[in-house]
Amino acid sequence: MFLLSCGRIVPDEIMIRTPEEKFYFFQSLTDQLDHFPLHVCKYRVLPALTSSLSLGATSGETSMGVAGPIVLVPLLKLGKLGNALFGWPHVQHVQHVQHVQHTQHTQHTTHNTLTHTTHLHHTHTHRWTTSLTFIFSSVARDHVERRRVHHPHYTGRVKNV
Amino acid sequence: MGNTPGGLPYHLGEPVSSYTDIQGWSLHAGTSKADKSPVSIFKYNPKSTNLNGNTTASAQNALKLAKTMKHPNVVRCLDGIETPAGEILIITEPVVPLLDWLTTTRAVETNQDTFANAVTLGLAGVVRALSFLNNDVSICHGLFSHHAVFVTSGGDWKVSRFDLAGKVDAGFLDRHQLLNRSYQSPERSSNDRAVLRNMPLHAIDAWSLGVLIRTVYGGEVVRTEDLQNTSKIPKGLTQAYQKLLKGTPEKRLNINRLLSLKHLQDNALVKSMFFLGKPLNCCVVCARFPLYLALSKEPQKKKDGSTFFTVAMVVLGTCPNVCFFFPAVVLCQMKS
Repeated sequence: MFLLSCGRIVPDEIMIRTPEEKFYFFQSLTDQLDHFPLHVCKYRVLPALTSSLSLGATSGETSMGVAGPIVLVPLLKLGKLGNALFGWPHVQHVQHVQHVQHTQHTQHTTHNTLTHTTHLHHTHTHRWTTSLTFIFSSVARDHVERRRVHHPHYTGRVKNV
Repeated sequence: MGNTPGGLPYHLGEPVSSYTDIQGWSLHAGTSKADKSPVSIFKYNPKSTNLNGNTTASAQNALKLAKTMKHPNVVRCLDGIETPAGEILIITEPVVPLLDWLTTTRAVETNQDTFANAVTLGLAGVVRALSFLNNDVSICHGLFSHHAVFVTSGGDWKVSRFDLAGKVDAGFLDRHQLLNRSYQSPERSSNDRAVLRNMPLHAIDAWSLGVLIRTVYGGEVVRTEDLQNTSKIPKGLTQAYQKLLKGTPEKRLNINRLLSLKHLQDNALVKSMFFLGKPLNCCVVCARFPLYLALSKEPQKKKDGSTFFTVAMVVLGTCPNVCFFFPAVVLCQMKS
């Protein structure tokens, strides 16, 4: 028996799956997202994808033990939902992130974040995974804060903000 | 937003209008004083005019079981207290009542398939919780209705309101008619104590689950005859629905049979969410000092009759909060 880690929460099913199972799961997730309800995309899938990218991304692998780009594809698809998922135009946030990236990586000029991410190179994986994690985590955090102001109890999705 | 009675570190918010004075309980919004995170607060008022007889013992039972019951599809309790005035408060993760969630989600999800997927995911979760209670812990819920199912922000349906949960004893027989009349099985409506005492444990919740399925797909059940109308229930569920509502308690379907029902389990959303969620085979090994054994895979039967679990995770904890878990790669062999 190997003691791997300990914490204050009950572990998730995904943590005890093999890397092959995780690989096929993330691979099939992209097609399935079209049939998932929006609240599931936002509160279940998005946190799982961003948390898997935010840890261990430097080695080109996610914390889930699968290659970063495998997780990026469903994440980009969630980004396409933009307004439907978060309640306001996604473009503003892309522009905001472009500005942040420009200051962080001055030698690397970007015009459109999403266009460039479709041409991922392994050498840039870490940079892009970090940027995308920033996009979605910041969008999700801002959104949650707005929700708390207007709907202190109901945290589920509502039609209009 | 005021302070909670009993000095708990939570702010008590406005009551949810659709869940006010349900068998003495009201659901309130709330926030944590520490980090302003949202919570839900179940508040029991012993002086409610809506109560028939003394239900304080039931409410105390609800508090006790909410604090000790740990399952992915049971509403997670953060804190709970009984005040000197007899009020009981249970602080939980933020949830909304099932019917409110259904109304909102139906309006938001314009695609019917997507909405049907969301409901299937919810029902699969409720089936897991009830099967856990009836078969793994060997208790009945007893008060199962749409008032006992709540939904989290991620769309998980979770069970709560354990007022009558336990064995079928004298206390249960005295208070079992606390349940909504539309959810009562024939033997409960007629208060047939002899039948209730001797019937299989799973038959009590099986009927209520059948009525819940009808309520979710076809609206609230007003008359008993409404249960015979299966036109709005998906075809994959119809057979199980009819078996859940058998007039004879012994013939009613055990809810654990629904764990392998194709309609509920062979669904991409259900599979994905169970993959991301808490372990499917999480079970309490030792009730006195909770020891959870979470199995990543279905056990494999060997030719000699033994059962192999290839990967497992042991979770060690104390009530009410699980403190440590030990993910471990172990090779277990159980002689059947």
